[in-house]
Amino acid sequence: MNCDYTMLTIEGLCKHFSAFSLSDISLQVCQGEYFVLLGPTGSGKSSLMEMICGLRTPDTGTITIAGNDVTRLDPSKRQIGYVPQDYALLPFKTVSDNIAFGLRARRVDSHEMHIRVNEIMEVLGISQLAKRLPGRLSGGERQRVALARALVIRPAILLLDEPLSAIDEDLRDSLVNEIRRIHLRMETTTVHICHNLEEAFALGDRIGIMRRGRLAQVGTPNEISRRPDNAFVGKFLRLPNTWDGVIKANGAQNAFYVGDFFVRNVPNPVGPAIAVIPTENLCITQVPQMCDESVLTFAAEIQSGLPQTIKPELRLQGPAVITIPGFYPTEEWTPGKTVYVNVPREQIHVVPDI
Amino acid sequence: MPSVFDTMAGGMLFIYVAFIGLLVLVDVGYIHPKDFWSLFSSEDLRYAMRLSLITSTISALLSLIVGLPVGYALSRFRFRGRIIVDTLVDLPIVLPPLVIGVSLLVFFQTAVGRAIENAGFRFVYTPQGIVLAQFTVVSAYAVRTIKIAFDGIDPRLERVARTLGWSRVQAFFRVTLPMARNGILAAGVMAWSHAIGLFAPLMIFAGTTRRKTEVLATSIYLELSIGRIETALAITLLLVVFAMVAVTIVKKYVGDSSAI
Repeated sequence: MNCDYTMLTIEGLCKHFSAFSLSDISLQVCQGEYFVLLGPTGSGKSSLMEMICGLRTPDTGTITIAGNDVTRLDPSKRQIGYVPQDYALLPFKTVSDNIAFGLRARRVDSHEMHIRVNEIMEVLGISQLAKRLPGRLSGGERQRVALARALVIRPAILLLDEPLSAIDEDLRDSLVNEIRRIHLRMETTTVHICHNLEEAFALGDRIGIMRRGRLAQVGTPNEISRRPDNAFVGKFLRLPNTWDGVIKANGAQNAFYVGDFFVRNVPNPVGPAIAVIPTENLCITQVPQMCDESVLTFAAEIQSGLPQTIKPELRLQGPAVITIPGFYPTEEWTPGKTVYVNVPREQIHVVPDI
Repeated sequence: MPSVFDTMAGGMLFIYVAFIGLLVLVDVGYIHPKDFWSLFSSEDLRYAMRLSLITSTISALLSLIVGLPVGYALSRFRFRGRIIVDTLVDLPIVLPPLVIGVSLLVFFQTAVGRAIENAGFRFVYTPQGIVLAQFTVVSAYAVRTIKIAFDGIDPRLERVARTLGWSRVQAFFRVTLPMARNGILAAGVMAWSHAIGLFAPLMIFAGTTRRKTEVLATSIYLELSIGRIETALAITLLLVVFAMVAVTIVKKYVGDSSAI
């Protein structure tokens, strides 16, 4: 990503809790970027966000927002817009008063406050809710009000803590699109944490994957899904055709083994590993192909291939199971038949299982 | 057709309410209206009434002043030994009130207590002692009620307010306090109604000297001791009215779920 200006920089951040630690987190988020922190429950996403907000102070490391070191700065002075899970709207204030709440703290004059509140309500399509109390809003409406409250103060960074976790599955897709639309219009630098893969991939310009208090990998959705840095990322993303195996010495070079099958010339050290087999550029033939060294060919038995299905795929049993989504097999692709899979070697991605 | 279970529960409710109502009714039936009005014509009892209202109001206000930060700390802070602190705060609720009076009396016999009295802050057998004894007992009720009110407020609301530009103190006054308003009102009313009816610790610590440390609750005892049962019952009914007004206020503004 082209990054002319870094809006958020985290360097060497550590925080020890009683049963958990955030360790050596370093991260940069560019101006206008939509950055998603993704990870399983308990991986430290929310703790990291609380430190960006200033609700917790790190033991070591620094946090810089728009060029200012805010590591020890009070949350009220950080120029952030924070949307927590469940939105935390003030139940005794109307929607418009909730949205104006941050402007009042900044002593914005009442005329300008009125204009800005109306403007943001219009952008988010909630003008008709202005006089309602939060208790009378739906989940989607509450989310929009919380977003409006965070955006109206024109924050340097918008921080969204699992904003869709309390939303029904049916509504989630439309709200993902809505968030994307608002981001494109407002261009506010956004850090969004979630544990939902679809949500992360739909929204994130880049995604940071957290595991046990560490950043396991940061990259664009394309980068992390094609070339995960380690087995955890591959498994967490539920990448298809991820083979568990082991790297052993094979002559002068190491090789990745799944049973007797092996892939030569693997640069990684000896030990447990996974191989990610790409489904693009796979060539499946019914007779062995005479290919050069750049292509790995192996035999596989057709396990299933149902043309009449919602999610068409071909499932093969080679050295391990391999599935090819979007494959409409014809009658000659019958279960039990042996076929040959040809994979460009350079596209087989082997990473250590740590 | 109500089930046997419903009939039994409803029946028990009726018997219980009838029992309480009967207790009030027999008091009402025992006295003549002129006994009630005699309360207001007696200079001694007017003094006791005035002192009761003043001391219980001061005690309730002091309970709120102390109860707000203590209730907030108990609700929000997690620290080692919290259970012990929590238990100590509840102690005045579970101890017999008489024990509080004895403990206060003993405390003012210690070096610290004597130093306080020698510094001019006299409590033993004084109206100030009434306030101190009432405060010692009823502040625990206020703290407990306020803590429950704060427990019901999501701390995230305060945290979000801080990210929106309010300082921690401002966030407390702008978010938490308005939301706890009903609970604080309930705490004040409960503290006041407990204070006005408190007897045993006042007897021990402040005494029952007429026109000095006599309050309504101790007046009942004094009137009974000289055989004026009608006057004692009239004072009792006055306290019943005070209690009912207090409970009604709490139920109207706070709801049935308040920690009465």
